[in-house]
Amino acid sequence: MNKTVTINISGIIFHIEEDAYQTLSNYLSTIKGYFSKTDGGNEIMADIEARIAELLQQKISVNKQVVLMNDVENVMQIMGKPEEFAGDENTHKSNDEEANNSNASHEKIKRRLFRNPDEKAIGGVCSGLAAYFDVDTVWVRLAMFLLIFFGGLSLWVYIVMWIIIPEAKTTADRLAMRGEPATIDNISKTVKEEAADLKNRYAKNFGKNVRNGAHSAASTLGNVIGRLFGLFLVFIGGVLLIAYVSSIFGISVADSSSDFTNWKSVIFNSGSYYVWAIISFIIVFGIPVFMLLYTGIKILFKIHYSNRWLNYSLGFLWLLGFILGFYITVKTVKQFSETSKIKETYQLHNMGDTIVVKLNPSAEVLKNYAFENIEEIETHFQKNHNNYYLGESKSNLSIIGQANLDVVESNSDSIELIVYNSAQGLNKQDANQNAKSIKYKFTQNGNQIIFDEIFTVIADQKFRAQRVNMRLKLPIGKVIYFDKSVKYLLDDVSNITNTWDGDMVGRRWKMTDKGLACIDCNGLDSDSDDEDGESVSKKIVIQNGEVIIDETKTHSNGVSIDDDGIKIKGKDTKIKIDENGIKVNDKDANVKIDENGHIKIKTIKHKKEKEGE
Amino acid sequence: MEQVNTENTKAQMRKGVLELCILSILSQGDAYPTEIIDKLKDTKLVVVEGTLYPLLTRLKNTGLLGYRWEESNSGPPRKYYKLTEIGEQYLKELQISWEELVSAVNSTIEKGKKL
Repeated sequence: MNKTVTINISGIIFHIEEDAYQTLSNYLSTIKGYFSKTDGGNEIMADIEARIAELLQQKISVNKQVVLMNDVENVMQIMGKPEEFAGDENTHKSNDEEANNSNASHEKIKRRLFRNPDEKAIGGVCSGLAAYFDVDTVWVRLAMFLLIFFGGLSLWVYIVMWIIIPEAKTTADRLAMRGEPATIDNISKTVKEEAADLKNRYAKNFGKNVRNGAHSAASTLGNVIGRLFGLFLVFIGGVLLIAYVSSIFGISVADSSSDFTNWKSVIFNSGSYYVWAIISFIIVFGIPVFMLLYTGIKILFKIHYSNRWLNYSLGFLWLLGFILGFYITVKTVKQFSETSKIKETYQLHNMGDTIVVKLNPSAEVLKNYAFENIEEIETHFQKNHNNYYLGESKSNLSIIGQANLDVVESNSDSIELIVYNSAQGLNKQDANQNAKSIKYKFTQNGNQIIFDEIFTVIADQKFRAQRVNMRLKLPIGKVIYFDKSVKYLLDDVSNITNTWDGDMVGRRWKMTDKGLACIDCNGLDSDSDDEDGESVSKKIVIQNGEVIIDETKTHSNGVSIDDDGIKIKGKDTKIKIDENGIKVNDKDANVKIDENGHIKIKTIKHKKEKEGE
Repeated sequence: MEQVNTENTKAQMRKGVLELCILSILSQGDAYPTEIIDKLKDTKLVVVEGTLYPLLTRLKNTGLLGYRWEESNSGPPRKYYKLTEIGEQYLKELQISWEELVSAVNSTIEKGKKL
């Protein structure tokens, strides 16, 4: 059973088998292609069609109503190949023309630049250029793309070319575009190709769009927008690719530094975790970047290629990478999920009234352990505070951190030091274990407490946010002197003047019921507002019966008059008169008369009893 | 190349006389292409029918031939060609020059054969 097509040749209707129809249709369009340039071409076509109709009519009868392939072949044989009657016309042309023609058929025809409508991405400029220079279209497009976006060629050049280069409309144009002579063979070849192409197009979107003018304009606009979108994707993808590659490069560079390697070994549970984390990073970020570029390029160059297998496997791989990354992140973060604090309280006796707080510098501490990178650790803690560093000893790694000290009021009469060793862990027990791995020391020597600047963690323990926080509980009335060395040990020690830790050192502070009060802070003592009194201002000092004009700050006793007011300092008593009023600080009481005339008197209790201890 | 050239020469010769033959056939009476073809087939001057149509159209366009349509019982309407007055004039000139040509050619060929 075969499908038949109904055709009309010269007003006669024929039923013709489909394949026979194709052959006949190609044959006629080949002839037409040739005669389209000849005078009276249509008339010749009509005559030929009439003859074909006549011949076909002889082939059918009541018994055989359908035109078959061999009928068509027979007719074609009778009529002859188009090339055979092509020679005919040539011989009748004038001598000049004949000479021209024979030249044309022998020499390669001069190429002409056209836009190629059969192979266009945007305007067919690139494919036309490719045909003109006889290279593959892909290279011209690539070169155009690179030149426009990286080589400084303006997009306008393309648009101007689009406008001024004519489109190859006829078969002869197309042949001239490729530099093929317009011989009958070539024309029939091209016509056949076109017919086949047309057939494919119709087969694909049957009944959809016939390419009329409006349609093609709309589709060109759509094309341009599509291209721009593709270009945008490629651009974004490119930028991300650069970031991606450089971050991978960064990781590999960091990987080669021992510092980074050490840290990753103390943070991750096992070495393989880190490797998996990197793999998951490569997958989770790499695949989207790749897909972005891939899709962009596909849209940009109108590549209708889609590989399901590729899409599925990449999607699956991405999911796998994501799960892996998620798992490792959760696993690692979980190691920090619980916090444990171990509290130890030390009663400090026989400290006297004035306590001196000193620091045992890291170098001294480190000497006790066999660390190999002592200098490195030292310089690290000189530059960074509240920070961690890794100590190395016999290829074991130890976490080293800085201890913190706070001073608060004691609710009893005794001096107490509370040391909190804290750490995090997978669970309470683990956190507890981690906290126990902390090694920290302080020593009491008479009225001095000497704190280690740093704490260490037992070798090969993981980093689990280990900390040492200390709290010195000081009864009211006691005086504490912070040695300058403890500047960075102090952790936001609260005092009534809101003095910054850095300014608290080198001074004596007395615990009052309001908090720590500075005893020997000239210019710093009462009003923290003008704390920056470091500025050198001249003042009159009366000391031992002599009047001195002094430019330096002295903490010595006597009377001084300067911009801030008048200050009188005795052994136990201080008097200050300034624009805020009069203040008298004594061992036993504080008296303040402010600018509004209010008088405040505070007596300091228990003092004598404490002194008695 | 040699082969092609002989073929080409033969074709050129046939085509050259084809015009004369068509005009001669039409001088005997009006005819439509199929009739012309049938007559030409006996003379082996026409190898493929396609050759005829461009030729007829060209002769018509140069004014040597005229035509009229006639209904056909069995197929599409037929285009009957006839010789115009110019055509008749042209045919006579052609016949004279043909005879001259034939005698000249024959004598040349005879001489060639004798050698």
